[in-house]
Amino acid sequence: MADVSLRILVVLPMYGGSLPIGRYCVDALRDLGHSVQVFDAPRLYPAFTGLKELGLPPMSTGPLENSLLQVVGQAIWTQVECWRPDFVLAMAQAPLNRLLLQRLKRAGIRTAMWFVEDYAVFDYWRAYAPLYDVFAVIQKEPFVSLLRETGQPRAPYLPLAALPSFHRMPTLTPEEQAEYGAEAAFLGAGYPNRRQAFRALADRDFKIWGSDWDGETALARNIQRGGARISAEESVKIYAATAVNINLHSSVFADKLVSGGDFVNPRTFELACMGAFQLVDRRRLLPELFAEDELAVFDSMPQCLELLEHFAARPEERAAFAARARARVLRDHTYQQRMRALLDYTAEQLGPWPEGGRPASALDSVPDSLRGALPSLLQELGLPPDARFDDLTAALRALDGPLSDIGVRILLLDEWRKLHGRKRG
Amino acid sequence: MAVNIVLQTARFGDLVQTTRLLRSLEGRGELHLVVERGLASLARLLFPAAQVHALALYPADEAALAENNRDVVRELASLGADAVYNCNFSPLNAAVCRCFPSESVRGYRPAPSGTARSFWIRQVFRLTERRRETSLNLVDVWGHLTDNPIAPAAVNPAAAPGGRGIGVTLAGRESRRSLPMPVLAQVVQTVFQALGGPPVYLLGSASESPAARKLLRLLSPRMLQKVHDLSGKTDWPGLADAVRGLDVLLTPDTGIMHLAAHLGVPVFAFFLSSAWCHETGPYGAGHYVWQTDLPCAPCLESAPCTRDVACLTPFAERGLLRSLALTLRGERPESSLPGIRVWRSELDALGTVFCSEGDPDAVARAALRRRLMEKLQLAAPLAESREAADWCARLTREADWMLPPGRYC
Repeated sequence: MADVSLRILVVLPMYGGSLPIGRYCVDALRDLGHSVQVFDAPRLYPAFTGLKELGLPPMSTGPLENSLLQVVGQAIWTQVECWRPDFVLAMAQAPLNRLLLQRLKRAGIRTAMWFVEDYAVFDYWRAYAPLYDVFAVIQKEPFVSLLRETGQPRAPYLPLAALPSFHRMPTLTPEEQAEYGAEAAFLGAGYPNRRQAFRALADRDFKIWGSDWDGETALARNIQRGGARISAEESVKIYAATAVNINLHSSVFADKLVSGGDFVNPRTFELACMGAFQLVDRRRLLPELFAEDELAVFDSMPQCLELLEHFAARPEERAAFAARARARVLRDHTYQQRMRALLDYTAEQLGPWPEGGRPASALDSVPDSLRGALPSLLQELGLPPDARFDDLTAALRALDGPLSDIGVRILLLDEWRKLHGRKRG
Repeated sequence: MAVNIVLQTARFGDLVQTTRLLRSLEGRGELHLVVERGLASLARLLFPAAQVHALALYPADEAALAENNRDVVRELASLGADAVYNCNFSPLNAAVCRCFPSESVRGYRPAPSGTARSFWIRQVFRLTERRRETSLNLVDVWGHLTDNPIAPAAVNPAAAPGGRGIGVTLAGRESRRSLPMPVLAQVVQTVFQALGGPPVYLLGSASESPAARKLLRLLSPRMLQKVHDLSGKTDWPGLADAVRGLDVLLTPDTGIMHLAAHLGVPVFAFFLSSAWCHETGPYGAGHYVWQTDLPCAPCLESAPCTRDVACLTPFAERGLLRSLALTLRGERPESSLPGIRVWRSELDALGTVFCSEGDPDAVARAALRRRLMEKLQLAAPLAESREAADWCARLTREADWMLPPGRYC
């Protein structure tokens, strides 16, 4: 697998929590040396929100939304036809409809969905999981057996992860430290169990970041920016500025504040990867991902408060936990590792990938008169020194504005190769 | 001073057909013309007001491509173009256009995954759905890439005999579009006699030399002393010298035909197969085209003929020779021969138009031209007609008016 460089189309969802994960996967796949294109579905999302805002009768809006989704599907298919990927990776909620998945199968293009959701909350997997070649999940039994019963036997367990190039400790300005910093903080949506649980922290130096906290008067003092959405870039700053990050997994039920569920959320890996300290609630799948001395875990909110008291006063203990957790993520839980595992699994199940060997790098595949200027061009474009020619031309085409003369000559070479049927790098 | 750049990297004939655009841009600032390297000297000859940049688009290998285009790409990237007129739907052109800000590129504009077309170019492409009824010369297609192009009459000199004799283009790029040699021999002899036996110049590249020898064998001995075989013996300036001042050029749809029109030489052209005078006829008033008039014409150059090139047959009839002789005597030839229609070029506000008495599609053609004139603001809207409404319906897509104007797609 290590020597195979694939053309991979990542289809992002239009919105939601799996969207940033999809973007991390794109970076990770590129890091692994694959040529990656993205179907950037969020660009089409305003069409759907705009439709809602027209105030049409709901009976009419449904068919119109379906029509728009057909257009989205056609756009994905157009990208597939233009680029002929080896593999299409759909993130949870990605807008691949049934017809499109059938066309992909007929075209011999392998497909996978990474279902980074709770199967008990989103149940469309019952109808759609069998349409994918591989359906990767973040939960184990009974989900895997249920999938087998629906006709999807290829359901590898693929827990969430972090992207070390993004989830790293930033240097904060004093102003940022003041804005984002707190003794304790939580970043996430206002699920019922969190609303209830965090009332015990309301009087402390405790900040709540994220959306869906409407109507939560008991925590009004703690909720930052009126519950505005927080970008992934800003989340890193919040994690970094907070002494104790509270990481309480969500639950739609408020009767059990610490739900004791199975899967481990992305925040766990992201905080760990950054070397930021967290108190995380116990999950059934946590022990196989992190050791007891890598994460400080609580089973109840009273225990959470105890641990908060303890660790808030002991920065050296926090640092020790955080360092061990970071080392563990870098060793076992990066998106690069997840993507490699997914591709290896797919090859094991469906047979080897079509390409026999890794194509030559752009540097090795261009004429001498272009080679000298290439390293600095690759650097400018944020590409690795061994980036392949396809990735280089894709990055150049994606740039706005005029290109340098070397960039134009690279594109000219690419088009000339296509016209003359030359082997591409 | 404004910097205008024209990219025309297609063939000989296409370069000559860019005349209206180029002449329109003369005097509007710096004018740069980007051509394929093999046509650079011709470009300098025909368009001395333009600074010519030569791209090596057909090198032997990648190394030569990269090396030979180093300086020209650097020059182009440093020009700071105000407007770039890209005449070709070519991925190579699209790559070169990345030297410039996207919004400055007109006609065919590079897009992340291909080439996007302007509204005008999209309209022109739609015309191909009804080729038989169309009437829009390629010179005008490119000329109208710029606002307020020069008047059609100012593009080429008026066609007038120059007294130097007869030019004969031996073959077009597609043999299917050229007269068979026995037919051409009869045509040449007819014109030779009608003009009183002037010199005859056989024109073409070295690859046409065998055709020249074949033709010479078919001509009468009396003629041979007047025939000069220049095939393969002229460079670009030599070819222009050979064509300049001729009384008439006998030709299929070729680059030499466009060169003759460019120099004001009257053209007698024979259009068959995929050649269609309403698209690529010689530009300017006073040229004649004997055009295939069969239901299958014009066909597609890329599609094989399933009718055994039936469009050749009418040209072997005696009626063609009589028609030629009448035309040379200044008499009005019959506009319609079996399988052939005779067209004469005229000018209107849009550009060059080919007319023929009794043209069954004349009303539709006129309605189309009127519609295009209105779109280009060359004419005020007329009262509605069925034909005008028909063209409007065929040329207009909902996205043209429901979405913002000026889109490239």
